[in-house]
Amino acid sequence: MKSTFMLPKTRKGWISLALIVFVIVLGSWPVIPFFNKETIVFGMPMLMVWSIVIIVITTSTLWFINKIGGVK
Amino acid sequence: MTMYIPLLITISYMIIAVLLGYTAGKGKDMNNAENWGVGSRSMGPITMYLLIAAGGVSAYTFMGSPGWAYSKGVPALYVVVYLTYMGVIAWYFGPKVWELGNKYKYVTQSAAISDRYESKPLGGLASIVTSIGVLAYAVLQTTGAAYILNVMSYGMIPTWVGVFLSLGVISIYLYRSGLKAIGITNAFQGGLMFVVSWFVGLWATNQFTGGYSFRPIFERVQADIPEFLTLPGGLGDMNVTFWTTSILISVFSIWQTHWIQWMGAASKQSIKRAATLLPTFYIVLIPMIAVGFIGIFMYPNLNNPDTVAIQMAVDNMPVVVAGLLGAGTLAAAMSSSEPCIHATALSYSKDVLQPLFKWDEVTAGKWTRRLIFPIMAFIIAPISIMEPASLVYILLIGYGFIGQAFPSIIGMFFWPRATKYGAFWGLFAGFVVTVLFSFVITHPLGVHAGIWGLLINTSVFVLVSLVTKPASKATIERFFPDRYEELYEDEHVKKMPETSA
Repeated sequence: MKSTFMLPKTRKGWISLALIVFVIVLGSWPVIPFFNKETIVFGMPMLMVWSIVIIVITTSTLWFINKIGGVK
Repeated sequence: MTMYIPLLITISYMIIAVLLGYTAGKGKDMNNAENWGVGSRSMGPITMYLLIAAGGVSAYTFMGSPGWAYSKGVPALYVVVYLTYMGVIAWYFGPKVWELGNKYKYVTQSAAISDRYESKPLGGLASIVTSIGVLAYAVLQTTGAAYILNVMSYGMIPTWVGVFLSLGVISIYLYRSGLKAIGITNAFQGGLMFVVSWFVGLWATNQFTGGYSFRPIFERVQADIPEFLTLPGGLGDMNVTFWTTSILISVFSIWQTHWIQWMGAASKQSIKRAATLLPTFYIVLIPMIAVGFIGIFMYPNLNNPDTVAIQMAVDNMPVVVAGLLGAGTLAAAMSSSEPCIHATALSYSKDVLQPLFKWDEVTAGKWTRRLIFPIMAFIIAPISIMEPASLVYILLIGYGFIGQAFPSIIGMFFWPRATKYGAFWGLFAGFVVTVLFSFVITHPLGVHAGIWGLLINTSVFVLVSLVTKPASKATIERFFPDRYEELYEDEHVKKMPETSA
């Protein structure tokens, strides 16, 4: 028996996987330092605004992947 | 007399919850584990949205988020981010889990683990050990519910009465209607929490600033305590590494409760639609976090930061608003504890007692819902009343362990070569490392103990799986039907010359 790991089989599948990883990265170590500032934007701390942006981007990404049928 | 209005509002919420939950299972035979356990797999996207969302927002989140904002500042936002990502997990795994459960009639995570790894003891072990974390979480919520009842009654309802009152209310509708009751009460509780959070947040903002913008609050923070606006926060204990790893371990923790909730959906599409919009619910935390920041200036010397929002409501807000916050927080506590009680009863019955005593489906069905009573009376209630200091430690271990089940789940959907020995030893090694790095050498290099555990777990899982015998071809074919031919391609090729010869 092969010890293959089940990876996406289509281009849409790979794009969807890349988008999900991208969304997770937005709230993690490589990106967070850029928003870890005392600056106030729209009346809120920058990190609070970024957390709300992550919510919007995440929902939009999931909606987009549903639309293209990237994840069955 | 007006002092009792908050308590009246809180009690009214409990009565409405009982009525909604009790009638939810009308016309269904609740002695059937399929009906009681997964609500006959009948929930649409709106109920699923509120069921999962309200289950995620606990009393700890409702009281703890303002508490963290009060004591640390922006580190409180990590909860918003990890709950958002848990929506991604629900969206990705939920439909897969539902499909598998619908096809092979699993109702619990452990049942699927037993089947995939061809080992009932592994499923039973997974059920018992993951229940430690789930029950600790239920105890925390019950303690929170009792605290709210105590505050709203101005001390008239002591902790032990509050514990029995909140568990008693849950038991009525949970016994009667199972997951259907959780679905309908969570929908009500979710709606209530959303409204109350914004209402209280904006009310407190108006009282503090004279307007409805958060800007004056944060400008004051920026001027007086700027360290509260960035990581590692006011206490200096959450750097970017710990923020990231805390989010990741929470995302990797697929709870037994989540699994069962997904199973209750009417279709794969119901879960997908609900989970796509799920992150939007967690904006509910933003106004409560703002309340925590306001508390920094209103209560500079508060002993317990988690009480900041309730304290502010009781001292400064009209009794109706205070009552609504009490009801909202109680809703958050109950909506999080009831799925834990339900999932534990279901899993103990189906994954531990049924194989142990060789019960048939009818006997298991009858016992499943009855198990909620001993679980509440002999585990949750006494521990909640004792309020042990070590509870947080139990919860820490629990979280660590729940996250350790992740490689086994990956083996269920993505890696056919995974074996029961790999799953068992990976789980064991991950658990030991998580305990070690939670209590002895705390979070080395600022990385969450659970992530260290997961790294070791995954390595052991892969190595042991590669040197042990995989599951039978029949099992692999059921779990990986699309790739079956490809997986055994070499063997087909080897066999072909023999056949032709």
